[in-house]
Amino acid sequence: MSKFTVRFINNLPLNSRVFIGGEEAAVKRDKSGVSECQAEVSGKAEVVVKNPFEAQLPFAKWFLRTLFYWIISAFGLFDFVPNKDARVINFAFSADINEDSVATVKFNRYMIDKQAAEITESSCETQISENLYTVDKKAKKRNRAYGAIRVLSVLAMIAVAAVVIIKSITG
Amino acid sequence: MLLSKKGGRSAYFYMTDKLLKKQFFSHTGTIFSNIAIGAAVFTLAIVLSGIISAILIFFWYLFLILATLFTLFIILIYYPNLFSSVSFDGLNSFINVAITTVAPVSAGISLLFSAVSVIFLAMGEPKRSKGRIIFSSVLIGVSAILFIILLVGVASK
Repeated sequence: MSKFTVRFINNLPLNSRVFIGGEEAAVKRDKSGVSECQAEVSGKAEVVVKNPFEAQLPFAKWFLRTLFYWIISAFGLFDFVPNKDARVINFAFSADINEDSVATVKFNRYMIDKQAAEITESSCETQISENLYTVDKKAKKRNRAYGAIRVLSVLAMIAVAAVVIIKSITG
Repeated sequence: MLLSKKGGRSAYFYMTDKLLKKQFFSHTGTIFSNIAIGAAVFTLAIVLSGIISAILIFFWYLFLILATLFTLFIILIYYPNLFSSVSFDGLNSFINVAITTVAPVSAGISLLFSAVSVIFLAMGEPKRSKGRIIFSSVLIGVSAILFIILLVGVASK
Protein backbone atom coordinates (compact mmCIF):
# COMPACT_ATOMS: atom_id res chain seq x y z
CA MET A 1 0.00 0.00 0.00
CA SER A 2 1.30 3.44 -0.90
CA LYS A 3 0.21 6.85 0.27
CA PHE A 4 -1.45 8.91 -2.43
CA THR A 5 -1.89 12.63 -1.75
CA VAL A 6 -4.06 14.86 -3.90
CA ARG A 7 -3.56 18.60 -3.47
CA PHE A 8 -6.13 21.11 -4.62
CA ILE A 9 -5.25 24.65 -5.56
CA ASN A 10 -8.26 27.04 -5.30
CA ASN A 11 -11.31 26.10 -3.29
CA LEU A 12 -13.20 22.95 -4.12
CA PRO A 13 -15.92 24.34 -6.37
CA LEU A 14 -19.68 23.88 -5.98
CA ASN A 15 -19.42 22.36 -2.51
CA SER A 16 -17.97 19.26 -4.11
CA ARG A 17 -16.60 16.10 -2.53
CA VAL A 18 -13.61 13.97 -3.34
CA PHE A 19 -13.89 10.23 -3.74
CA ILE A 20 -10.81 8.03 -3.95
CA GLY A 21 -11.52 4.43 -4.91
CA GLY A 22 -15.26 5.02 -4.47
CA GLU A 23 -14.89 6.18 -0.84
CA GLU A 24 -15.29 9.78 0.20
CA ALA A 25 -11.96 11.23 1.29
CA ALA A 26 -11.62 13.82 4.03
CA VAL A 27 -10.27 17.07 2.61
CA LYS A 28 -8.11 19.15 4.92
CA ARG A 29 -7.23 22.74 4.24
CA ASP A 30 -4.00 24.32 5.44
CA LYS A 31 -3.40 27.96 6.32
CA SER A 32 -2.10 28.81 2.86
CA GLY A 33 -5.49 27.88 1.38
CA VAL A 34 -4.32 24.65 -0.27
CA SER A 35 -6.54 21.66 0.42
CA GLU A 36 -5.38 18.09 0.33
CA CYS A 37 -6.61 14.60 0.90
CA GLN A 38 -4.79 11.35 1.35
CA ALA A 39 -5.55 7.70 0.81
CA GLU A 40 -3.76 4.40 1.08
CA VAL A 41 -3.77 2.92 -2.40
CA SER A 42 -2.21 0.00 -4.19
CA GLY A 43 -2.00 -0.08 -7.98
CA LYS A 44 -4.50 2.11 -9.74
CA ALA A 45 -6.34 4.88 -7.89
CA GLU A 46 -9.49 6.48 -9.23
CA VAL A 47 -10.03 10.05 -8.01
CA VAL A 48 -13.44 11.57 -8.59
CA VAL A 49 -14.60 15.10 -7.72
CA LYS A 50 -18.40 15.37 -7.71
CA ASN A 51 -21.02 17.47 -6.02
CA PRO A 52 -23.93 15.06 -5.55
CA PHE A 53 -27.04 16.87 -4.30
CA GLU A 54 -30.53 15.79 -3.35
CA ALA A 55 -32.29 16.88 -6.55
CA GLN A 56 -30.24 14.27 -8.39
CA LEU A 57 -31.83 11.41 -6.45
CA PRO A 58 -34.29 9.04 -8.18
CA PHE A 59 -37.71 10.70 -8.39
CA ALA A 60 -39.46 8.77 -5.60
CA LYS A 61 -36.64 9.37 -3.09
CA TRP A 62 -36.33 13.02 -4.04
CA PHE A 63 -40.10 13.52 -3.84
CA LEU A 64 -40.42 11.94 -0.38
CA ARG A 65 -37.51 13.93 0.99
CA THR A 66 -38.77 17.19 -0.49
CA LEU A 67 -42.28 16.51 0.83
CA PHE A 68 -40.82 15.97 4.31
CA TYR A 69 -38.77 19.19 4.11
CA TRP A 70 -41.81 21.09 2.80
CA ILE A 71 -43.96 19.95 5.73
CA ILE A 72 -41.44 20.56 8.54
CA SER A 73 -40.44 23.94 7.12
CA ALA A 74 -44.01 25.30 7.47
CA PHE A 75 -44.92 24.60 3.83
CA GLY A 76 -41.60 25.73 2.43
CA LEU A 77 -41.45 29.05 4.30
CA PHE A 78 -38.24 28.16 6.14
CA ASP A 79 -36.80 25.77 3.55
CA PHE A 80 -33.96 26.38 1.13
CA VAL A 81 -32.86 24.71 -2.08
CA PRO A 82 -29.27 23.52 -2.08
CA ASN A 83 -27.57 24.09 -5.44
CA LYS A 84 -30.59 25.88 -6.93
CA ASP A 85 -29.06 26.20 -10.38
CA ALA A 86 -28.09 22.51 -10.39
CA ARG A 87 -24.48 23.25 -11.30
CA VAL A 88 -22.43 20.12 -11.64
CA ILE A 89 -18.75 19.34 -11.64
CA ASN A 90 -17.52 16.18 -13.31
CA PHE A 91 -13.85 15.66 -12.75
CA ALA A 92 -12.17 12.29 -12.55
CA PHE A 93 -8.72 10.93 -13.13
CA SER A 94 -6.88 7.72 -12.54
CA ALA A 95 -3.35 7.39 -11.25
CA ASP A 96 -0.91 4.51 -11.26
CA ILE A 97 0.52 4.32 -7.78
CA ASN A 98 3.66 2.29 -7.12
CA GLU A 99 5.16 4.40 -4.36
CA ASP A 100 4.07 7.39 -2.24
CA SER A 101 2.82 9.93 -4.79
CA VAL A 102 1.41 13.42 -4.97
CA ALA A 103 -0.83 14.97 -7.62
CA THR A 104 -1.80 18.64 -7.70
CA VAL A 105 -5.12 19.69 -9.18
CA LYS A 106 -6.03 23.27 -10.03
CA PHE A 107 -9.72 24.08 -10.38
CA ASN A 108 -11.00 26.57 -12.91
CA ARG A 109 -13.85 29.01 -12.46
CA TYR A 110 -17.31 27.56 -13.14
CA MET A 111 -18.34 28.01 -16.75
CA ILE A 112 -20.92 25.77 -18.36
CA ASP A 113 -19.41 23.16 -20.67
CA LYS A 114 -15.88 24.26 -19.88
CA GLN A 115 -12.99 22.36 -18.42
CA ALA A 116 -13.33 21.99 -14.65
CA ALA A 117 -9.72 21.49 -13.64
CA GLU A 118 -6.23 20.55 -14.70
CA ILE A 119 -3.50 18.47 -13.15
CA THR A 120 -0.61 20.87 -12.77
CA GLU A 121 1.89 18.55 -11.11
CA SER A 122 2.10 14.85 -10.55
CA SER A 123 4.72 12.40 -9.39
CA CYS A 124 2.84 9.50 -10.94
CA GLU A 125 1.20 8.57 -14.22
CA THR A 126 -2.27 10.17 -14.44
CA GLN A 127 -5.08 10.06 -16.95
CA ILE A 128 -8.11 12.34 -16.89
CA SER A 129 -11.37 10.59 -17.73
CA GLU A 130 -13.92 13.32 -16.95
CA ASN A 131 -13.38 17.05 -16.90
CA LEU A 132 -16.40 19.24 -17.39
CA TYR A 133 -18.65 21.78 -15.69
CA THR A 134 -22.28 21.22 -16.64
CA VAL A 135 -25.85 21.82 -15.51
CA ASP A 136 -28.09 18.93 -14.47
CA LYS A 137 -31.20 19.95 -16.40
CA LYS A 138 -33.47 17.43 -14.71
CA ALA A 139 -32.38 18.58 -11.25
CA LYS A 140 -32.79 22.21 -12.28
CA LYS A 141 -36.36 21.52 -13.41
CA ARG A 142 -37.10 19.84 -10.06
CA ASN A 143 -35.59 22.76 -8.14
CA ARG A 144 -37.66 25.23 -10.15
CA ALA A 145 -40.85 23.25 -9.64
CA TYR A 146 -40.25 23.07 -5.90
CA GLY A 147 -39.41 26.79 -5.84
CA ALA A 148 -42.73 27.57 -7.53
CA ILE A 149 -44.61 25.32 -5.09
CA ARG A 150 -42.92 27.08 -2.15
CA VAL A 151 -43.89 30.53 -3.45
CA LEU A 152 -47.49 29.42 -4.07
CA SER A 153 -47.82 27.78 -0.66
CA VAL A 154 -46.41 30.84 1.12
CA LEU A 155 -48.88 33.07 -0.79
CA ALA A 156 -51.70 30.69 0.16
CA MET A 157 -50.61 30.84 3.82
CA ILE A 158 -50.63 34.65 3.72
CA ALA A 159 -54.11 34.61 2.15
CA VAL A 160 -55.43 32.19 4.80
CA ALA A 161 -53.86 34.25 7.61
CA ALA A 162 -55.40 37.43 6.18
CA VAL A 163 -58.86 35.82 6.03
CA VAL A 164 -58.54 34.51 9.62
CA ILE A 165 -57.41 37.93 10.92
CA ILE A 166 -60.17 39.80 9.04
CA LYS A 167 -62.81 37.33 10.30
CA SER A 168 -61.58 37.60 13.90
CA ILE A 169 -61.63 41.41 13.71
CA THR A 170 -65.07 41.64 12.11
CA GLY A 171 -66.40 39.00 14.49
CA MET B 1 -8.38 17.60 -21.82
CA LEU B 2 -12.07 18.12 -22.45
CA LEU B 3 -14.03 14.93 -22.46
CA SER B 4 -17.60 14.05 -23.24
CA LYS B 5 -20.29 14.41 -20.56
CA LYS B 6 -21.22 10.79 -21.15
CA GLY B 7 -19.25 7.85 -19.93
CA GLY B 8 -18.79 8.87 -16.27
CA ARG B 9 -20.74 7.42 -13.38
CA SER B 10 -23.87 9.29 -12.37
CA ALA B 11 -23.86 11.43 -9.24
CA TYR B 12 -26.27 8.97 -7.61
CA PHE B 13 -23.54 6.32 -7.68
CA TYR B 14 -21.63 8.40 -5.13
CA MET B 15 -24.64 9.03 -2.91
CA THR B 16 -23.95 6.37 -0.33
CA ASP B 17 -26.33 5.83 2.57
CA LYS B 18 -23.86 7.66 4.80
CA LEU B 19 -23.77 10.68 2.50
CA LEU B 20 -27.56 10.70 2.13
CA LYS B 21 -27.92 10.60 5.93
CA LYS B 22 -25.45 13.46 6.32
CA GLN B 23 -27.29 15.55 3.72
CA PHE B 24 -30.64 14.77 5.34
CA PHE B 25 -29.49 15.82 8.81
CA SER B 26 -27.77 18.93 7.47
CA HIS B 27 -30.84 19.98 5.48
CA THR B 28 -33.24 19.30 8.36
CA GLY B 29 -30.92 21.06 10.81
CA THR B 30 -30.75 24.10 8.56
CA ILE B 31 -34.55 24.22 8.32
CA PHE B 32 -34.83 24.06 12.13
CA SER B 33 -32.17 26.74 12.39
CA ASN B 34 -34.19 28.93 9.98
CA ILE B 35 -37.32 28.40 12.10
CA ALA B 36 -35.34 29.32 15.24
CA ILE B 37 -34.04 32.50 13.59
CA GLY B 38 -37.57 33.41 12.41
CA ALA B 39 -39.00 32.88 15.90
CA ALA B 40 -36.18 34.87 17.53
CA VAL B 41 -36.68 37.77 15.10
CA PHE B 42 -40.43 37.67 15.80
CA THR B 43 -39.84 37.68 19.60
CA LEU B 44 -37.35 40.53 19.35
CA ALA B 45 -39.77 42.47 17.14
CA ILE B 46 -42.50 42.16 19.79
CA VAL B 47 -40.15 43.14 22.63
CA LEU B 48 -38.73 46.02 20.60
CA SER B 49 -42.21 47.21 19.65
CA GLY B 50 -42.93 47.49 23.39
CA ILE B 51 -39.77 49.53 23.89
CA ILE B 52 -40.42 51.66 20.79
CA SER B 53 -44.01 52.35 21.83
CA ALA B 54 -42.75 53.45 25.26
CA ILE B 55 -40.28 55.81 23.56
CA LEU B 56 -43.07 57.03 21.25
CA ILE B 57 -45.32 57.77 24.20
CA PHE B 58 -42.48 59.57 25.97
CA PHE B 59 -41.87 61.75 22.92
CA TRP B 60 -45.59 62.41 22.56
CA TYR B 61 -45.79 63.78 26.10
CA LEU B 62 -42.59 65.75 25.55
CA PHE B 63 -44.19 67.26 22.46
CA LEU B 64 -47.30 68.11 24.46
CA ILE B 65 -45.24 69.92 27.08
CA LEU B 66 -43.26 71.82 24.47
CA ALA B 67 -46.37 72.67 22.43
CA THR B 68 -48.04 73.92 25.56
CA LEU B 69 -45.07 76.06 26.45
CA PHE B 70 -44.54 77.42 22.94
CA THR B 71 -48.10 78.27 22.20
CA LEU B 72 -48.48 79.76 25.66
CA PHE B 73 -51.81 78.04 26.03
CA ILE B 74 -53.29 80.08 23.16
CA ILE B 75 -54.46 77.11 21.15
CA LEU B 76 -55.60 75.25 24.22
CA ILE B 77 -57.67 78.20 25.30
CA TYR B 78 -59.60 78.04 22.03
CA TYR B 79 -59.53 74.22 21.68
CA PRO B 80 -59.39 72.77 25.19
CA ASN B 81 -60.05 69.18 23.96
CA LEU B 82 -57.39 69.26 21.24
CA PHE B 83 -55.29 66.34 22.52
CA SER B 84 -57.97 64.34 24.30
CA SER B 85 -58.73 62.32 21.18
CA VAL B 86 -55.19 60.89 21.14
CA SER B 87 -54.98 57.73 23.17
CA PHE B 88 -52.39 54.96 23.41
CA ASP B 89 -54.64 52.58 25.31
CA GLY B 90 -55.35 50.38 22.27
CA LEU B 91 -51.70 50.19 21.22
CA ASN B 92 -50.57 49.53 24.79
CA SER B 93 -53.05 46.75 25.39
CA PHE B 94 -52.19 45.15 22.03
CA ILE B 95 -48.45 45.19 22.80
CA ASN B 96 -49.08 43.98 26.36
CA VAL B 97 -51.07 41.01 25.09
CA ALA B 98 -48.34 40.27 22.51
CA ILE B 99 -45.57 40.46 25.11
CA THR B 100 -47.37 38.37 27.72
CA THR B 101 -48.88 35.70 25.48
CA VAL B 102 -47.17 35.51 22.06
CA ALA B 103 -43.57 36.50 22.82
CA PRO B 104 -42.85 33.77 25.45
CA VAL B 105 -44.19 31.12 23.06
CA SER B 106 -42.09 32.36 20.12
CA ALA B 107 -39.02 32.65 22.37
CA GLY B 108 -39.64 29.07 23.50
CA ILE B 109 -39.98 27.94 19.87
CA SER B 110 -36.74 29.71 19.00
CA LEU B 111 -34.96 28.08 21.95
CA LEU B 112 -36.28 24.62 21.15
CA PHE B 113 -35.57 24.76 17.42
CA SER B 114 -32.11 26.25 17.81
CA ALA B 115 -31.20 23.43 20.22
CA VAL B 116 -32.63 20.78 17.88
CA SER B 117 -30.92 22.39 14.87
CA VAL B 118 -27.51 22.23 16.60
CA ILE B 119 -28.04 18.50 17.25
CA PHE B 120 -29.12 17.83 13.65
CA LEU B 121 -26.32 19.91 12.14
CA ALA B 122 -23.79 18.12 14.32
CA MET B 123 -25.20 14.77 13.18
CA GLY B 124 -24.99 15.88 9.54
CA GLU B 125 -21.87 17.62 8.34
CA PRO B 126 -20.47 19.67 11.23
CA LYS B 127 -17.40 20.79 9.25
CA ARG B 128 -19.51 22.23 6.44
CA SER B 129 -22.06 23.79 8.80
CA LYS B 130 -19.59 25.31 11.27
CA GLY B 131 -20.95 28.86 10.89
CA ARG B 132 -24.57 27.76 11.24
CA ILE B 133 -23.76 25.68 14.36
CA ILE B 134 -21.99 28.64 16.01
CA PHE B 135 -24.88 30.97 15.10
CA SER B 136 -27.48 28.52 16.43
CA SER B 137 -25.48 28.06 19.64
CA VAL B 138 -25.44 31.84 20.17
CA LEU B 139 -29.17 31.88 19.39
CA ILE B 140 -29.77 29.28 22.14
CA GLY B 141 -28.28 31.74 24.64
CA VAL B 142 -30.18 34.75 23.28
CA SER B 143 -33.49 32.83 23.15
CA ALA B 144 -32.96 31.42 26.65
CA ILE B 145 -32.34 34.91 28.07
CA LEU B 146 -35.39 36.32 26.25
CA PHE B 147 -37.51 33.35 27.36
CA ILE B 148 -36.52 33.74 31.03
CA ILE B 149 -37.02 37.53 31.00
CA LEU B 150 -40.46 37.17 29.38
CA LEU B 151 -41.50 34.38 31.77
CA VAL B 152 -40.40 36.41 34.79
CA GLY B 153 -42.31 39.39 33.37
CA VAL B 154 -45.47 37.31 32.90
CA ALA B 155 -45.15 35.71 36.37
CA SER B 156 -44.72 39.07 38.08
CA LYS B 157 -47.97 40.43 36.60
